[in-house]
Amino acid sequence: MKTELLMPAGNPEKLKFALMYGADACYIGGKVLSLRAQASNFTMDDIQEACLFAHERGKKVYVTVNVIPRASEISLVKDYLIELEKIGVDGIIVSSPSILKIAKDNTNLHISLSTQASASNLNSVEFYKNKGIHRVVLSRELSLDEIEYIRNNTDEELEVFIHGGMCSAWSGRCSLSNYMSLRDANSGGCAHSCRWYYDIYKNNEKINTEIFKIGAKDLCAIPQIERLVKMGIDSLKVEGRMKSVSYVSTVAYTYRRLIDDIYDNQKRSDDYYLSLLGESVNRESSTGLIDGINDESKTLYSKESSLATQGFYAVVLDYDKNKKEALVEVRNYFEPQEEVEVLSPGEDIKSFTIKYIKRDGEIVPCARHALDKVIINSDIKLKKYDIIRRKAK
Amino acid sequence: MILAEIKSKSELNIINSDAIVINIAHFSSPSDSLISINEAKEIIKESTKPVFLKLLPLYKDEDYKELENLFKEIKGISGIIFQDLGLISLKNKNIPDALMIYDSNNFITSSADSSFFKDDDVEALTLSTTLSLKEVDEVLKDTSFKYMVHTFGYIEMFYSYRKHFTNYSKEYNIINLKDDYDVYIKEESRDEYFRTLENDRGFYIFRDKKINLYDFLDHFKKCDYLLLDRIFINDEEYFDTVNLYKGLMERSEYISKYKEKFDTGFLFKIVKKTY
Repeated sequence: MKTELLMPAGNPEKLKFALMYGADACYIGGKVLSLRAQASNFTMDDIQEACLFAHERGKKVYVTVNVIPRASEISLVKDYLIELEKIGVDGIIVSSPSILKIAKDNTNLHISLSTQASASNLNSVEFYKNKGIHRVVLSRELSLDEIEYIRNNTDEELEVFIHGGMCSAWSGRCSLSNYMSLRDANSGGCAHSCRWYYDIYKNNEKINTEIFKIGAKDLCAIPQIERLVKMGIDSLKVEGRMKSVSYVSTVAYTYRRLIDDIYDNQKRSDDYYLSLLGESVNRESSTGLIDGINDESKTLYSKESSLATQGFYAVVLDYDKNKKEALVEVRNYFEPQEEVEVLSPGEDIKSFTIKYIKRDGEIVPCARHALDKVIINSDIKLKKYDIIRRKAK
Repeated sequence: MILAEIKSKSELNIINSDAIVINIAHFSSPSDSLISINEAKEIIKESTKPVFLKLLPLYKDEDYKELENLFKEIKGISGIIFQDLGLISLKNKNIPDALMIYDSNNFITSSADSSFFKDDDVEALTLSTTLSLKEVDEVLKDTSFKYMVHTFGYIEMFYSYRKHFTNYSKEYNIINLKDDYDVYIKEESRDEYFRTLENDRGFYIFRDKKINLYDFLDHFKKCDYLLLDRIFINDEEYFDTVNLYKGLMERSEYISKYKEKFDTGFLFKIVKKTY
């Protein structure tokens, strides 16, 4: 089986883009029992529609049911899981012992153990395998060698995080948010307290001159993908249900190309794939702990550097090949006379210059309003879901 | 059963708990009561009370060979307080009679969790340290499973594999605070000083106030194990606390001696969910 590329999707639009841009599967959250509660998430109807969209394309949808539920929530679980199975989801992602048990007892759903459970060794993977859990999402603290050891010694499906935001703690082993913000991190309320600024005190005196930070840089494991694929990891997972359409599309596009190139024995340099990611990498990143190096290069010491993704200009809705014009939906401000790039599923990145922008049949000086529909020229044949973005410098 | 930690064999005869908890250097963490394997073996041999070993790290495969050797050395141990579920099979292979008490800090939040473990030779589950009193009551009201609860001490609220003090010292070329048990961190906008520790097993942040749930023991009477955490507590206070819980010291005497209002952790806090 070819290694699966598993992308996050915070809403139905992101799911479509992730799948169109190369994901083999998406993981999504429902309105209940899912972490990343601030992602807009999916209603049951949305989930059903997502499954139809995915299955028509030979792809999969997993639903995260990864909260640690309190006693008062347990009554929700059984009916919710049965409903998910009924509408055809391909699997669920779970960390709570109670939800794992309810899922096993009442459904035939494919169950992935969430990284929240921090399975960090062969014995713990085998423990869950013996419980009938189909796939284990390994702890994000493991190195390639450690992952390979587990891979070589179990036939359990294994999933590894390769890209996106990281917990600074072992996943699920943090209640900073509960204590400092009264927001339950294991019920979707994480306040990201690990990214706040701290001072250090000893003998009642502040001893630091630089702010003490413990936040983790984002993960970008492009240099490690080839080995993960070749060792037979079943699924490579990207974090980011809160991230934008642009992010999801670009990251899916990049890793799709990388994985396919590895299978085709045509892998290019890591720099090439990093360049494809372009502006979608909007925070400092590192290869995380997967390279086996647990040092200062993995901590986010600089001021939070979350860059706006204003280079994402528009999404193509339709193309008139006779007029050589595209109907696009605006996402960020852009003007004519700018050379832009086209990100198109499965194709090389191309560029062209926007010569004019028309709105309601009239030439306008710029595309100003997000979600406005405007017409732009393009000699390149564009397709629905193509992304128009600022040209990388 | 009151479980209390000891720092050495010499404390066996002066601590009044029902069972002893030991921490073994290199394997147990976080703890400031670490002993050697040899001393652990002597304690197991000489104790008239059950002896439990605390093994709370999440381990990697390279640790498992050492853990297997450790388990062979400590045959006769009464039980293991653990977090890494891979330890169950290792225990079954090497010390099948030892009782396993699962302590994941905050994963056990409902009585339904026990059904997952019922076939696993797990003696007891440790209640999440973030439960309200109402939630504690709900978990315990209709369960036949055994539970442990942390009723005293500094509760861990962050456990990382990352070496944050070591990394910080390298980044800014300053003194490394690893293995220093007298360090606090303070978030810039809050007036709370959190005890913090880095050791070979990771980086830990603890709550600023130590909990003491003594006044609510009625709610925990269905818990078979009450664990009194010792890290950062001075010896006299710890022994007095054990005596308080064992009814050997009056509450009023304890209160007047330590002049502390008991902190009740999350028992009366309302933690928001966002869905």
